[in-house]
Formats: sequence, structure tokens, C-alpha cells
Amino acid sequence: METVVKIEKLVKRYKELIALDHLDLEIKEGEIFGLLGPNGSGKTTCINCLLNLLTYDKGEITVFGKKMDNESKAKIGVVMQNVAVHDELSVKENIDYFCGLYVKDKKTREQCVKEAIEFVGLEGFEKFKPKKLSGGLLRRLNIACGIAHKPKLIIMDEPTVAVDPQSRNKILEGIEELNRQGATIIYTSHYMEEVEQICTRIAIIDKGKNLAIGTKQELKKMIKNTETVTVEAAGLTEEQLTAVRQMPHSYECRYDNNTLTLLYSGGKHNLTRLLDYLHSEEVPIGRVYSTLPTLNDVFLEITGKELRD
Amino acid sequence: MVFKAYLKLVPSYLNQVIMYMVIFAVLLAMVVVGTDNISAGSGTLGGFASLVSVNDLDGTEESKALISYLENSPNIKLIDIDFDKESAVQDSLYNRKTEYVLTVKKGFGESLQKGEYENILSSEVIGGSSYESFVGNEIDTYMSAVRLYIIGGSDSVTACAEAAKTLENGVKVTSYQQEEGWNEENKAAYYFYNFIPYIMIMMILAILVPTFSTFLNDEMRSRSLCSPISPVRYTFQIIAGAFVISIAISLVLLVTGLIITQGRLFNDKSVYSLIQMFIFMLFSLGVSALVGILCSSSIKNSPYVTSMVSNVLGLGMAFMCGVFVKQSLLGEGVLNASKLLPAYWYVRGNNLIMGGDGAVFDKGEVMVCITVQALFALAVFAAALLAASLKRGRRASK
Repeated sequence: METVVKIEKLVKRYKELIALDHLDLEIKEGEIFGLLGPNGSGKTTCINCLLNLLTYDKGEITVFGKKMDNESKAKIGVVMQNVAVHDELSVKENIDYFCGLYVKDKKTREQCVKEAIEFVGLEGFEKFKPKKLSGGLLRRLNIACGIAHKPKLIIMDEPTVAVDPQSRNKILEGIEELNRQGATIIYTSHYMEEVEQICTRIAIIDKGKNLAIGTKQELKKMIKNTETVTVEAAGLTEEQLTAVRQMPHSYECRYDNNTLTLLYSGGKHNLTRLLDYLHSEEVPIGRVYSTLPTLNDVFLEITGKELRD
Repeated sequence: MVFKAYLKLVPSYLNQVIMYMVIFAVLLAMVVVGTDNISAGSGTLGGFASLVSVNDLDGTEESKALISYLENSPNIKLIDIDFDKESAVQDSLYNRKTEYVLTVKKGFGESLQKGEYENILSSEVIGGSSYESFVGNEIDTYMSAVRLYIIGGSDSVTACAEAAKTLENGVKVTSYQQEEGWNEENKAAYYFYNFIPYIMIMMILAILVPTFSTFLNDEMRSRSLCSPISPVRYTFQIIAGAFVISIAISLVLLVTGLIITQGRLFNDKSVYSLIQMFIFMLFSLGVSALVGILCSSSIKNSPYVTSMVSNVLGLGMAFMCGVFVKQSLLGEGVLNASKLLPAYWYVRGNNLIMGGDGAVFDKGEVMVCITVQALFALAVFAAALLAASLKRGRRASK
């Protein structure tokens, strides 16, 4: 697959603060590439540098095999985190305005605008002013403005912020559809389940550095935890808890409110082994869960659990 | 595309502009109709003349001189009534044909010559009206002047003639309409151009500030610059849109002015007036850009910010710089402060061009006024560019 975006050793400083610290990223054609990171990790700075909205101190960015120029910009669609539309223009006029920045021919543009309206499901709202739209519809308008000119690369910076679940599903389905139609997508979000649902490859960045990159399976393999077992078990003694802690592959054990939680790193049949032991000790058992690590676990383990500004 | 979209935003802000246009039209119409009425009279306050009838029972040179004085007074209009008819006086007063009836008693001239001033005149007036004191004052003033000349040694006929001449000169001195350089034909044009600094800035700010703030706010600018359009082209198209709107507003103002003044806007010096108007339009455009850049986020949150800013700027400059009140009537302190505002130089220039407020046309001085206004326009554009660049720099370092 062809490389669409290549970021090499990118450095961006804001006076004393290093926002991007020798960041490397490579995004291939046809990917939905997730960019994850806590607040202030450098995601938006990275995107702004990529879009030439910010200058950078060191490094190199190539888009479609060359440095960003007007030709490359014409192939990029942008859906910003903050909805940027003209309140004075109608839905259709807004899409036409943004599409017109890329497509000069009026007839082609008319067709593009029509398709974009259909794509995001804004039929019937063409003459509405943005202030009359709900939060979800406004986000969909924002997306339509970014994709109407049929870009090959779409950059979406948290497009589902403050959107209800129905609208969010519609937006995510739309993103997958755009990808199926051939667009490469760079997607940033704070919602781990969204990234897990749609992204084919994910990079976790923090303090301007690329901490991990890979598919969700590859990322999950990078962390210690492979399985978390939770059992409702009443009246466990200290001796029994010591025996549980010493079970193979378990590296953390918690027992609160008659609920036993064991974290495993690798190994097979961990749940069966634990249940066999509890049966042998005649411990009464309630509900039992075994969960695999989520992207959230990966994120927290890689970036740490301390609160960010 | 940016240019087209810019023009598409205009209808959203037309309500306020139409409101200002109506204010302007009404204001101009009132002033033009008012000045026309003044012109139609006998020079000063003809529109407010009292109706006076004189019954001359003396028929001497002295009594005729008094009647002639009253006839020439701008505040009195003489009405003939048939004094031979018995009820003529009562009927005329009752029907408001006349408001004041003066009787010059027989022996008026003789009494003056002797230095006797009692019981030589009598009057009848509508009961409780103000005409008694108003016309009475005119007659008393005249009689006092006659008395002074007689005491000074003049005979009664000369005293009456000299008194009339002296009082006539007094009127000339206090009349604005007799100022040097003032041309009656210029009046309508003078007021039209004089209102421009107020109305132009109000109208241009009402449209351009919100449109500038929409296009120049960080989100919209960044979003638009993600496209192949360059920052220079983006800014240029916005300024081009603003320029077209400003020109359209100026043309609408001129057409409105032409209609209201019935085509009396242009004369041989109009080119200077139009240059002044154009430069003030550029200044207003620059102010709009500056306010739009500095207050973009506040304007998005509250549409009243634009109205507040335009009122402070428009009305403040108008009152300080002589748009509504002549510069000659403003205090020295106010005038000194207003020299720091372009509207002062505009009004000063307009006075020189039209010969208003006692000014006499001087090409050199007019050019100074125009140059100062152009420098103000340049300065405000430079400030807008600086503000935009500082804002971008601050955003980049956030």
C-alpha cells in the first residue's frame, strides 16, 4: 500500500514547551488511522502541522509523497473539532462554500453538494440555518462541509464530541463508508470504543512522542494484562487469598465487597483453574466474568493513570 | 468563492442598515425642508412672522417711516384692513386675519419733534396672546432708537430714518445666512456631506464588523485555509468583498441624497466632497476590520457588541467633531481633542468646500484635511493588519 502521510522526526516547540518531540508516523492508503492521546499530548498540534496551519521547528512531513502544496491540499478534507460554519448561510450554502474552495466548476460542485447532503442524511434541512440544527445535525453538517469535494485523505479531529448515540452511530457508519469508497482517514477521538470500532491502525501519542503504534490486537499485546477475571465469592480467608495470589500467571489480586478480581498476564485456562480451586475450598460463588483488555486498558497502561490538565 | 460567500452574508445584516438609512433620510429631509423654508422668507425668520395691521391717522413722514420699519422687519408681516369699516378691527382680530393692530395717533410726528412720547401710539391685540409683547418689543426698540437720535440733536424725520437703518444693521450682524462664502444653493449639499461621517461609519460597521468577524475568526480562517486557497488570497477576497459593500453603501447614500435634495448635491467643488466621502469610507472599512478582528469572539457570542461599538464611535465622533453642532459652537477643549479624529478633518474640509460655518474655500487647506483623513485611514488599516498578525502569533504560541 502506498504511503499517504509520512511524518519524520517532527519537532514543534511553544517557547519552553515541546509539543511534538521527534514524532514519527506513517499512514498508508486505505487506512482508518486512529490518533489517540490524553489532553495536551500533541494530537491537534500534529494535525495543524500536517495541514500547514502551524510551522514546525524540525522534521519533515510528506503528503501523497511530497511536501504539502496546494495540489496536496486539494486532495484533503478536514473535519475540525469545533464546528466551523457560517451561521448566516443555509446548510446547502455552507457546504457549497467549503466545496467551492476546492471545486471551481459549478455543475460538478452542485452534484458534490447534493451527494454530501445525502451522505450525511441532511435531506430536508438544506435551507435551514446552522443555528436551527440540533447538535447531531450540526456535526453532520460539519462533516458534509469537509467531505463534499470527495477528498482522498480525510482528517477528522474528534468529530463526535457532544453527539447523542444515534447521531454518533450514523457518523461512524459514514466514516466507514467513506473508507470503503477509497478515502484514507486520520481520526482522533477521546472515545476509545469508537477508535476500537472503526480504526484499522492506532497510534498512541503522549508528550509529543509516539508511544505505541499498531492494530488494536498488536497494541493489546504490548501491555502486561491479557485477561481480567472477576468472581463474586463470599467469605474468602487470608489463607485462601494467599493461595489465589500464587496461582500461575496472575500478577494482581484485589478482594473488596465479596468480589475477587484477578489480573493475568498470559497463560491458558486461568478461569478454570481459579474456579476449580474455589470449588475445592467449597467457597460459595455468584456471578463470574472474564474480560479481555480493551483499548482503554492499553491507553491507561501506556499513558499512565494520573489526571491531565 | 470567499468573495461570493462574503457578499452572501450581507442580507443577514441589512435590517440595521435600512434602519440607519431611514434615520439619515428623515434627518436630511428635515434639515433640507427646514432650510428651504428659511430661504423662502425674508432672510431670517420669515416663517415665524407676526401679522400686524397699522392704522395711520397721522400720515406724516415720521409715521410713514415707522410703518416702513415694520414692513422691513423679518418678524412682522403687514396686513391691510379696511379701517373705515366700523367693526373691521374686531372682525380681523377675531378671524385671525391680523394678530396686532397698531394705531398711529394724529400728531405723532409733531409730538416726536417736541420730544413728547406719551399717547402717540395705541394697540389692540388678541387677549392673552404673546403678540403684544413680541410686536410691542419691536416698536419699543424702534421708538427708543428714535428718541436717542432726537436727544442727540436730529430732527424727527432724520431720527426715524437713522433708527430704522441702525436696527437693520443689527439684524445683519447676528444672521448666519449672511456669512462670507456661504452659498444658499449649497445648503442641502452641505448638510448631506456633513452627516456622512456619522451615517457612513454606522452603516459600514453594522454590515462589515459581523462579516469580518465571521470570516476572520480563528476557526473559520483555519478551516478555510486547509483548502488550496492561500492566506493572502483569502484575506484579499474578504477585503474585496468589504470594499464592494462599502462602495454600494456610498452609492445608496448618494442616490438617497440626490432624491431628498432634489439633485442639489453637486457643484463645481463636488469632486473634493466625493474624495472626502471616499476616504472616510476607507477609514470606516478599516475600523470595521480592526473591530472585527479584535472582537470576533465577543461578536459571535453577542450581536449587540457591534451596535455598541458603532454607536460609541459614530455618535461620539459626530458630537465631538461638528457633525450635528457647528464646529464654531464647540468649546476649544473639545475641538482640540476632536483633531485626533478623522471626522473633525472631514467636517472642517466640508466647511471649506461648501463655505459653511464661516469658512472660505481654500484648496490648500482642503487638501490638508483630505491628507489627514487619508493618513487616519492608512493608520487604521495598519492597526488592523498588526492586530491580525498578533492574534495569529498568539494563537500559534498557545
